[in-house]
Amino acid sequence: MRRGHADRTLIAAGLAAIALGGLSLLDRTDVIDIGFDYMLPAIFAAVGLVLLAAGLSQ
Amino acid sequence: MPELDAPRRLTRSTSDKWIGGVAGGLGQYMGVDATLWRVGFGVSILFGGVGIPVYLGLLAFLPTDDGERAWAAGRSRITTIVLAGLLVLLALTTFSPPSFLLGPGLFGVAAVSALGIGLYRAFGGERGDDPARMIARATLVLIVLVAALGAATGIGLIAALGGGPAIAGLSIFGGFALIGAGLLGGPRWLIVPVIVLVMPLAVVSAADLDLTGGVGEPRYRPASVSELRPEYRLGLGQMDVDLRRLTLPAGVTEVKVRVGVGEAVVHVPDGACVTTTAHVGVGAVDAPDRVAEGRDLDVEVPAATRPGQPELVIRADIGVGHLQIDHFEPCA
Repeated sequence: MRRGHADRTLIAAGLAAIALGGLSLLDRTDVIDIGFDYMLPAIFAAVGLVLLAAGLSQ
Repeated sequence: MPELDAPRRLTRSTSDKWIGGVAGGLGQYMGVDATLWRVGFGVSILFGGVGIPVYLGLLAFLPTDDGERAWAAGRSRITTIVLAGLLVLLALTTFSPPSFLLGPGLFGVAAVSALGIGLYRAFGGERGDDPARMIARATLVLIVLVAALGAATGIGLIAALGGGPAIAGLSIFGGFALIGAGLLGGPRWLIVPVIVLVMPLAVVSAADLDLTGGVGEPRYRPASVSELRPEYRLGLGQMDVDLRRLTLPAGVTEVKVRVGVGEAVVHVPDGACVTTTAHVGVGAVDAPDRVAEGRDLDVEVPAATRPGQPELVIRADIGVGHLQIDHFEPCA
């Protein structure tokens, strides 16, 4: 159990969720038009960030 | 038990083995229960059998964890090369649809598998669990996984039906909540509901899915230009727009077609000069002189119109699906 200690994996996942949510919000409100060419690398980068944080936490 | 500070090596397990200890060794190396590897090998046999050459290769080339050398280590170099070549050839023969899921389907399988393993570990699953506890935990993971996939589908539908900004707002809020939980040392399973929010939203945004046009198989046959609608829109299904009865006036006549998921077929008057401008998130376009498939397709097929000649401009936007322009007699 990690209670009482900052968990980098959760923090990284939070940042990734904010980034992907922000991109999607801009797309759905027609501020930008984001296709798979940009969204897929963004998703992979987000997953990579979380895995990296999880790996560094061990 | 291996020393904690000893470098990890991929070996075949002698203590956790059903056949050759490959799954047990992979489980110990990756820190994932060996049963999941056994299930993975079993499933791979159903999808063309790629797991068989992989298993045989690992069986031949891995030493055991008690120091016994690999089978291939005692053979000549020629034997090793021939064996490796045969196994690669055998594996490649399984890489043909429909026996093996290539492309986006494979990504989906990988994502669901990763989510399943993550959940299993999040619920406290470790290698070496006793079978009863492992089955109970795997059942729990399966239930959560099915619920998560159902919720993700529902969230994707809401986003595609116009609720995208609200879901995006919730995702951002969820992200801040995760950061807060991370600073306070909260449980990692909190990531799952945020994934369920963010991933379908990202897919819907990337595909530009819009299901607000309803569901069905509508057919439109306008008899004159005055009967043309400003836009032909469908959320999910197949739409047929037959323009063959139209007499096009001089100048440009524009027809907009928008389908969220499905197919749009547009029949064009014979001899008309047609310009097609289409965007397809994922799918295919089948227009005269132009066939394209893939994702993020932007297709522009201009008409060879002379000044004063009538021109029909079709502007199509398909989220996921197929656009077909039937035009049998080209521009006169």
